Parts: sequence; structure tokens; C-alpha cells
Amino acid sequence: MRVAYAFAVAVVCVTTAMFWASALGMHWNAWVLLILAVLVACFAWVRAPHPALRATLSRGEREMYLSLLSLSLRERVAEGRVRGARLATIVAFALLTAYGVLTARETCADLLYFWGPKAVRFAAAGGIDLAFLKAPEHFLMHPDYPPLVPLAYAWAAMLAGGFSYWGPLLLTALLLGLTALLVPGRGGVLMAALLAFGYAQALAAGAADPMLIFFEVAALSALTFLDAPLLASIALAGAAMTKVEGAAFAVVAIVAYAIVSRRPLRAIGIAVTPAILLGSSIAFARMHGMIDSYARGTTPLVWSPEALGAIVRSASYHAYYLPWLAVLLPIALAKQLKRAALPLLVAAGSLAYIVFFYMHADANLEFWIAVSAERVLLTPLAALAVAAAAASE
Amino acid sequence: MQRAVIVAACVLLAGATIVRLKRGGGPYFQRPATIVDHLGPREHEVHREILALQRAVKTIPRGARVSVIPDDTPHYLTAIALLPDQVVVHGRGDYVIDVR
Repeated sequence: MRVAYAFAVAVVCVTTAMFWASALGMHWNAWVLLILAVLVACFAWVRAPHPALRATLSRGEREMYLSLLSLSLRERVAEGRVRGARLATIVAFALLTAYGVLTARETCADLLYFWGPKAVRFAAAGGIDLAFLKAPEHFLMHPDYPPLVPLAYAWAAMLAGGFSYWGPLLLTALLLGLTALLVPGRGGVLMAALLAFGYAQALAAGAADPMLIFFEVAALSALTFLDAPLLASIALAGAAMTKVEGAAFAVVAIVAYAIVSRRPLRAIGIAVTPAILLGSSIAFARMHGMIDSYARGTTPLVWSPEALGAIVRSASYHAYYLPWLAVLLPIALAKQLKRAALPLLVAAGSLAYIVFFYMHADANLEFWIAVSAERVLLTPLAALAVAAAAASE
Repeated sequence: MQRAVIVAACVLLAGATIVRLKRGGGPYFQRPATIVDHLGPREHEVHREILALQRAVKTIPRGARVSVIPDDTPHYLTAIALLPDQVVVHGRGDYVIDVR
């Protein structure tokens, strides 16, 4: 779990450093960034709280952990076997995804159409290539889109001495494994199975969605299992800097946390990092005349039964709604639903904003839903998987 | 009960993933030529273009103006992706790659 948080914090810090270096007109140095990444990852790994050490344990939970510490050797071996089986199953699902991406069965076309080209140009320029982004013929690549993913790909390309389209594909399998590790117990295995199917069916490999899901689950797990607001804040900043939907997720998660925890000031504190990073990204785009995705507030909201029907059809994942059943049934059977209140509220909120986004008129709405809904709906599914884990913990 | 449901869900999802991966067709254990080789039962719209561009990139000089036919959005963006050292243009460039 701590490895996954270390990775999340390192990615956010390195890409933020790259963004600010570009904003200040400084060229990137891949090796300086590598040293920064290693230092930040080590610091985060050491400082990330362990579930057994969190401060907000109930009396019963604390007694349980104390009793674990006094386990006999035989019980410790049995506990180790359970953990080993969990890890082996998560690795197996990550390897299944690695097979899928390396035999070109899960590639998202967006990797070719804009994530990859941006990364190649950024790596070659040693910074955010404004001329490339501002060129009218590249407008379809969304010049103002949150930059975390192309920045991360560009950094890897600079380290490797060139960009390979297989790199982001393989990263999908790594992200799947790390995302599953964020969720404790059997919930982690369920998350791995869910994402292995979701990425294969939705053709999400290489796109920003695996990174977005990783940050979203990191934030939810930090709040649900660790009560670690700083980690959640950094992860939500990562989500907001990964995709436009990430900002909506951050708002939903922060409001849900304020409601569930009844600590509005703490919730406002969590919002600071995402607000600063996303605000600076939008300001940078506005300063260079590249605002596009964030200037669509004038598009009218049109309630369309056809669009709703298309979303419901996409939600089946051509598998009789199996992903939904896989996460909802364990929740239905759980006895500790109160612990799952936050991820359940976030799942409901994310479903609401997905429908809201799709209800804005677009000439090719049916096509838009057909090519994106399966990927976008992975967010509420992942939140429900966290809820299932929390309810069964 | 809940444990059994989670185990069953994981087994079913693993099976569904394998079925989905199989839909892309064989060969199953060979290195693919492009990143879109096995996305579905039909050939991906830019598959032939990627193969052509992988060959062309070795011969087209840096900075040359290149256009692709068809000139639609997927083919145009794919050309930008695979020709980072050239200038991809709409209309007619110094080099025209026809992938119809």
C-alpha cells in the first residue's frame, strides 16, 4: 500500500515541477527530475501511515490490531499466507493486463491521437511545447487539457532516450497493480479483477483513465482506510491534473468527506492542493490563449432520454452488467455499511456528474457516449469497489 | 457468504477478461506489428496507416511536409503521432502517403 502512495506522490511532485519549470521558461533535466522523484517517493514511503497505526482507530479495532501483534508463530504464518495469496492474485491480474496490452488488445486510440504526440513533442522541446499546442491544426488535441499524463510520459521518454508507444501501454498494467494494492484485504483483489476486465473491455490502455482511477482510488483509500488528509489532497490534485473529470471527482470527494466526517474545515484543507495545481494549469492555458475544454460552460443542458439509454447500454460492458454486480453484491451482503459511507456517496456523486456531462448537447452525442462511457464509468465502479472493501473490512 | 461472492465475482471477471482478450483474434503469442493489431474482430481504421508510416519514417527527411490520404481526423492525428520529426499538413505536402 505504501509503495502505491509513494508512486502517487512522486508522480504528482515530478509533473508539478515539470509544469512550473515550463511556466517559468526553464528547460527540464530528466536526471534532476529522477533524483526528485526518488527523494519524494522515499519520503512518502516512510511517512505514509500504516492502517494499523492510524490515529482514529476505534477501541475494538485497536484491540484487534494489538491482538494481531501477539499472534503465535503458526497464526503469523497463516496470516502471511493470506497476504501472499492476495498479492499473488493481484499480480496475476496485472500480468493478464500486461499480456493484453503487449499483444495490442487493449490500446486506447487517444494514446495515438493526443496523449502520445503531446509527450513526444514535450520531451523533444524539454518543456511544454506551446507552439505545438497553439497550432490551429492541433486544436483537436485539446491544448488546455490537464497536463499530468503527457508530462509523465515525456519524462519517461527523456529518461529512456526516446518515446515508445508500448511504454504507456505497459504502464497500464503497473497502475492496475498499484491501484489494487491501495485497497486492503479482499477488496484489493476485487479491484484488480474489476480493472483488468474494465481496461480490456473499455480499451483504456495508454489513455489517462488508468492514471485517473489510480489517483481517485488513492484519495478514497487515504480517507476511508487511513484517515490521511494530506495524502488524499495530493492524490486529488493528481486526479484534477490528469483529466477534466478528475476535477469534478475532487469536488465530489471533498464535499462527500465534509458531509460524512462532519469536519468542513478539514475538507477545505484537502481542497487546497488540487485548487492550487488546477488553478495554475488553467491560468497557464488562459495566459497563452489555449482555453478550450474549460470554456464549455455555455453549452446548454439538454435532458435526453436517448443519451440516458446510451449510457445505460454502455454500462452493461457487454457482460450483462457483471462489473456492477461484482461490486454491489458484496456491499448488499455487508454488515458494516457505515464504514462505506464515503465511497458510496462518492460513487453516487460521480455517477451524477457523468450523466450531467453527457446531458450537454453535442452533435455526436451517441458516438461520444459509445467511445467513452465504458472508460468514464470505471470511476463510480472503482469507488464502489472501495466501498465493498470498507464494508467487509 | 460475502467472501464467497467476492471470490465468485473475481473468477467471473477473470473469465470475462479472457473472453474479451480473445475477441481480438490470433496469433496470441506473437509480437504485434502495431499497437492496434488486435483491438477487435475487424481491422482498426488506422492499422494500415501505422504500418505505412513505420516504413515511411525511415525515408522521409526531417522537416519535410507530409500529408496522408484519407485526410480525416484519425488518419491526420495518427500521422502527427508517428512522424514527430516531420510537419504533417492537411491538403498536399511534399510527401503524400496514401493508405486507402
